[in-house]
Amino acid sequence: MDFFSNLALGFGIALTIKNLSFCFLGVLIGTLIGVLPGIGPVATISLLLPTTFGMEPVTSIIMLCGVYYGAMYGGSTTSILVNIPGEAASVVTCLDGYQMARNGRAGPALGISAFGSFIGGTLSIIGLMFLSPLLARLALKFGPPEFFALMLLGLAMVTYLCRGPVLKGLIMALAGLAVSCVGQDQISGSTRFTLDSITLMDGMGIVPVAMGMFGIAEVLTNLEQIVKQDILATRVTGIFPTLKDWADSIWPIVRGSFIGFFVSILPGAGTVIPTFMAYTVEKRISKHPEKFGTGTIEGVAAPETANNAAAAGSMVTLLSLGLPSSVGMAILLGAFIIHGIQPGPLLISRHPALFWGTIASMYVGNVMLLVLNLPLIGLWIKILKIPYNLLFPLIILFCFLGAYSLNNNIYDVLVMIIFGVFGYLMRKYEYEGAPFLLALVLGPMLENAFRQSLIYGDPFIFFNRPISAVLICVSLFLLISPLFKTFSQKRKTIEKVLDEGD
Amino acid sequence: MRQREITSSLFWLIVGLILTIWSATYPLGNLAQPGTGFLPLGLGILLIIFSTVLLIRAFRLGATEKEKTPMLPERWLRLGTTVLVLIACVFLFEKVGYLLIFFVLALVLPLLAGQITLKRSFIFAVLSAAGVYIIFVWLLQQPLPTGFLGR
Repeated sequence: MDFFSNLALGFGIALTIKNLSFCFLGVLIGTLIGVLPGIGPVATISLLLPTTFGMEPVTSIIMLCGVYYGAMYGGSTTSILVNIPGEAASVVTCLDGYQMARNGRAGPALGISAFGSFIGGTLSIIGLMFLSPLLARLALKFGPPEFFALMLLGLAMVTYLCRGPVLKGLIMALAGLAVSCVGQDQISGSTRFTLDSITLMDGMGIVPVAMGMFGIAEVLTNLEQIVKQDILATRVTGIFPTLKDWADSIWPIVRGSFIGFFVSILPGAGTVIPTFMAYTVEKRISKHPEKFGTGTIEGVAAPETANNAAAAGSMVTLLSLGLPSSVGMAILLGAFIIHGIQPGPLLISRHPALFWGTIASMYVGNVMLLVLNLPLIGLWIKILKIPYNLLFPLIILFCFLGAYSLNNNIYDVLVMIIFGVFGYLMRKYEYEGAPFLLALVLGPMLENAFRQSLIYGDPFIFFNRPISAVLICVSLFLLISPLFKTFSQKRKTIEKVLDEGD
Repeated sequence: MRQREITSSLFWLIVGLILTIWSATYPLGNLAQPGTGFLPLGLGILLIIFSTVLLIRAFRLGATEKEKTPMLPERWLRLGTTVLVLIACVFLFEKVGYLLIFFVLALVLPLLAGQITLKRSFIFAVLSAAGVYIIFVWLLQQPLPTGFLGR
């Protein structure tokens, strides 16, 4: 009964005119940036964050979440029509989606990805609704050592899933933690590494750094060689899949939903890994695996469902434990904190309106996306025709404005540019940005949990408590596993799949 | 490949050394009561260890490892100029004002990327500056510096 009254409370909040409008705006912007290659949800949420300062927290979170899952919908359009993923989670959709379009079946490909996304997103929200309160109740028993171990596991997972040597991922995570130390020490109150700069006393802002590393760095990388996009000159007709298409896709959609949701709960999995897993599973169990890559509808339905299921799934740990499982969630955590709300085990009991309002808005947003996506495909195709040499100055202008509007401080823009150049160089030298940014966000929480744990007086406390001992052992295992041949080969397989996607 | 690995490892080694030395200037505390410099010192030491391992691995990479094709000078020039224009805009933003800065950015950046005429770029710059004014200043009421142009 309590559950239904909470859900009713959520819908009461989500269905107000104001929240409906911002939910619509969020999913519209999300779809747009999903369609456009070169700007992802991380940069967009960072960019929009300053514009939400005047809003109520629930309205702001509803809009920003809309951007996040809306981007997953939009990414498929570019993958299918241009063979360039609009968003990282749509990389695998290119394989069969583009081939379907070349075979004159762009309509059913776009249609099934929209329906699959809707089903995956909706099933995943149901999972989020049931699992988050359970996990939050469990987390209430956690102390600082358990939280420290959990954050360590998140960082270890992100590092493990990086391309290239684990050592490079580890170095980026350490660098992110080091940058998070800049500013005021939360326990003693003294300042560190600030060079007497007032801007740095507040610490290194997550938003300018994220915009730099994921917005500016992306632009600089694309500037190296501006590729003219070849949009398939085909008329998009017959968007509604046929009965046969449905029969072929229904089980991939169901499996994609489960894979997307459960894999994305794991710290560090994000939305990209579940899409590859869903695609691989379908190919493995298919009666005709040889058809994958030639334009089979299952190859579009499974990953597109999985990425939307993963978008909601990755919110489980954020809302119930306060721990972001991906870079996108890390930025969303920043949004919560800016609005004075600390996600974690107490979020649901202290801010039920926010939690249930956000959940209900996601149901509404998914319906909006389905209604929005199919009729607007023509518009998205037109937008895709904007040349990159006009698009990238706009991205830079928005980043500039976003970073400045954060605190009306021009040094935030400078920080963004510095981290943009840093992010670009790291890409050139094959270091990934995800461990860096996740470490930067988790850094202050991790240090607090670490120091509070040691105050118990026992330096081995992390190994004396069963949950933290298990989590730390798993983290250590992940980090040293590439030294063992079997695990090293498994990791290389993941890396190969990711590289093929690129 | 080898040269790039050596360069990046050396960079991180220097960062690790700076972090370690700098952290040691803060109170370190002890294991029961860690001080301000405790965690950064640990991070610095780990950075030194990992970057040294990477450096050793890089030196062990044989000549058989393929070197990536170096980037063409004009691309470096395009990137470098873009970054310099951005930095210049940061320092001039509050003095010159948002309208002129965004106009210049929207005019210069497409030209730097190439494949566009000055006329098209000019029209784009006018539209972009007007768009910023309408969306951010007029609709969202964002306080942006107007510089010497005034309001």
